[in-house]
Amino acid sequence: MDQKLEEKNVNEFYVILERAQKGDEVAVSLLIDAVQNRLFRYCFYMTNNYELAEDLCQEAFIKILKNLKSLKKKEGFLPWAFQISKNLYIDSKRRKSSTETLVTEEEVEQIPSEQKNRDLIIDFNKALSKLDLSERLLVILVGVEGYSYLEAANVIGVTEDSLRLRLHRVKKELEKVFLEKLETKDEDETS
Amino acid sequence: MKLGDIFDDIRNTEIDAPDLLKKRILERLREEVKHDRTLRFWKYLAIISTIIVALLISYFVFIPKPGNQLPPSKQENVNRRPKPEFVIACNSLGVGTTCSYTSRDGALVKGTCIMVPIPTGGEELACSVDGKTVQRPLPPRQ
Repeated sequence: MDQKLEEKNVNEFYVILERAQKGDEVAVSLLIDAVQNRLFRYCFYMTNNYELAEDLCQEAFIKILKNLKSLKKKEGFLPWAFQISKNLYIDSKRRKSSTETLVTEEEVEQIPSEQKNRDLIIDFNKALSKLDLSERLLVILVGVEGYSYLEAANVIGVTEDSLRLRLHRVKKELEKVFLEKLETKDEDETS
Repeated sequence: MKLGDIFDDIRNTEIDAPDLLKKRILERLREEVKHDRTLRFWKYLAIISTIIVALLISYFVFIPKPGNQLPPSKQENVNRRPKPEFVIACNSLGVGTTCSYTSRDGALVKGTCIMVPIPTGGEELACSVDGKTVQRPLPPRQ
């Protein structure tokens, strides 16, 4: 499937996927269990908003599960799922483009208190919220999900060369925003 | 701290999906499947009904019924053709006398016997009713 799934789990996942494709309800449930955190994280960093990510993730899952039979390559499941989520998000943004506003600081910080590494996630999400959607996707796919340039380019729908160029620029920008924030935090803590 | 390290930390930090997400997905999925099934049922029903209606229409419009092989105009003439008795009556009465017969709806129709030309040449007696002539029926086809 991809490098994020441990090797021993990959085959098990493929079996579940195959069963889910045949309409096995238990397998569908197991499939959701297996990928919901990954897909939710992707939606969360893409939208910068916990509640929005929840709705988007739900819609994406419905679409994924309804079209599961059309998936030919099992190893392409996650990129396919990411692509569906991205398209749904773009559609929803287009529908409310006139009322579209930037996510607020509060929205970015909406994340359960019991979440592990909560502060890191919030800071990273804040830094991501300064980027536009296509730049965010680059960072999420390559930086967070560990996709190759080619895989990420396929999900986003750009050429590998253009992705490489843009990612270089975005990483610099992100580094500037993110590291400045961390330094400020360190200074606050020491004072 | 480098950006690569931050990415590593972020990559290794799963964000827990909301507890009820899976339940909501499964519920929505069940609803959608049910809805799709209902839609499919109505779609098939509509297709089958359309086919049945189309077949019935073509049966009544295009398929000739037994005894109706002649074109409608000719059939009407055949139907309106009087029973032979009154023509025979005209024959026995002669030109200008009153002929009568019982129509299909049971009414007594009265006319006057007149001479009309026949396509094969010559003339024959026919009963004229309200300006329309009713001739002797054609002999049965061989």
